[in-house]
Amino acid sequence: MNDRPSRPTLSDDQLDLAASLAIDGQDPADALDGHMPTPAERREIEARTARLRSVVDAVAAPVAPPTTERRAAQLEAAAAALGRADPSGAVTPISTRTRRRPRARAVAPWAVAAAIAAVIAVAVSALTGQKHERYAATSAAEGGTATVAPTTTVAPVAGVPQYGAQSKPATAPTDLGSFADAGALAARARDALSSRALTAGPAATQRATASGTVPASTSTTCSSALRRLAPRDTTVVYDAEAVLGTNPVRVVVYAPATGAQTSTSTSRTLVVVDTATCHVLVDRPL
Amino acid sequence: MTAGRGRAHADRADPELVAAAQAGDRTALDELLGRHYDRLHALCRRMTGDEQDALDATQEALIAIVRGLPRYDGRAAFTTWAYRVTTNACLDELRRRGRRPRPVAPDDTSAPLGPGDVGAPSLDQSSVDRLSIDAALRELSPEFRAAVVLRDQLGLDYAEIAEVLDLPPGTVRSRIARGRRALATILERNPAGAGTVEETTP
Repeated sequence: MNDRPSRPTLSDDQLDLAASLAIDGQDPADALDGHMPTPAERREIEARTARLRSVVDAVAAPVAPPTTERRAAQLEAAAAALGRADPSGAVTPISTRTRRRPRARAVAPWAVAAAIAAVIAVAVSALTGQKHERYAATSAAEGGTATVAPTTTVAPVAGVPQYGAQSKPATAPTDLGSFADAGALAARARDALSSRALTAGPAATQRATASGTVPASTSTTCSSALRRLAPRDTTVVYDAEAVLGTNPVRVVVYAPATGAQTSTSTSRTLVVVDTATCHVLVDRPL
Repeated sequence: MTAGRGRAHADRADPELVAAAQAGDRTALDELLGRHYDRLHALCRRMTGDEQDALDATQEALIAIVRGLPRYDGRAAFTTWAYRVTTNACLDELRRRGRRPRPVAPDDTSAPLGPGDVGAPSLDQSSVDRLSIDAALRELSPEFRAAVVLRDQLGLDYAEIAEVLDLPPGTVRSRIARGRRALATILERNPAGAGTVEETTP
């Protein structure tokens, strides 16, 4: 048979799929819908196989594990949740992506109501002369190197309503203990505060605080825009959105801003916290 | 936990450890989580392309696993279920962070270079190094990234990946093939692995 007219007639997708299957030890013919590849097509598949193999090798390269201390701390934090599982589902759900999409749509009406409530609350508090300096953006702390001494305005452990006039303490503050990092503390705080403070009641009261200890010089990353939830003169060291039941919440860990901040990119800031005590704010609405 | 008890747990299969952990056995849970920690972290590391994000996602995944354990019914293998939970945690993390392709600064602490990476196998091409593969993976949509990482980093077969991602096997093999092709294209265009490549959605 003359090889000359046997130019590849398979599509790029078919050729790449055949190559990919070959790498994985599958039969490339499965990608060809019964088509018998021509010699040219075989050569093309072989060439693409070699090309994709370098990618496979790169993705498969070993990942350096965290330090032993970090690993142990993460495992400890997770294991501490044993016995606190909530079979009712009022926790961050474990679901497939196909199940998650409707949930996001379901939140929309609540978000609208929350936004309206927030606007009303702010207006009412403004009329009564209450100040809202806590909401001021901490733009001065953004970028470059900054050191801000802790002041008396740093939020104490107690859940006093100093983040906005519409806030009021949900319950007494909770000391959550020591954690390896701010992320672990935040996860624990979300868990601890979820059942008692953030699952019922008007949106304007959905706020709770806790505290915990993390090692000095804890570092993490955050978006500068997210610092606005925290009190002034503090530094957000962890910020995450989560879902409690169907309610979106924001978990913010902050600390007295005594640490140096080093800008590493336009979108993220590395924050080094020179304090051992962090406070956690679980806030709803976002 | 005694050493003897720890050794006893180490010899037990996942289903036994799961049952014990569901009954409140902390040491069984420790063994179960510790046994799979490195692979869960590796999944998060490749999915997020950033060590700090990976640690956050790993922590979230571990907590979700523990909290979801009472509802785990054993129909799927524990690893399959755990990978699904972890993949979801990674997707949540990516969504939270509003991840966008971004340049990798020279002093970026998330750069995936570490002592454990030296001498990684099959990396004889300078254009395909750890830095560039992380940057390239970030350019893939999470759905394609998950399929490729589950296959090439964790070594799951197509059926397992289909179960983890809740997708038909045909979709899985297609995503893997197209994801690999996209990665190859990205790496060839940007051998340095910088985040200046255009958005690529296979």
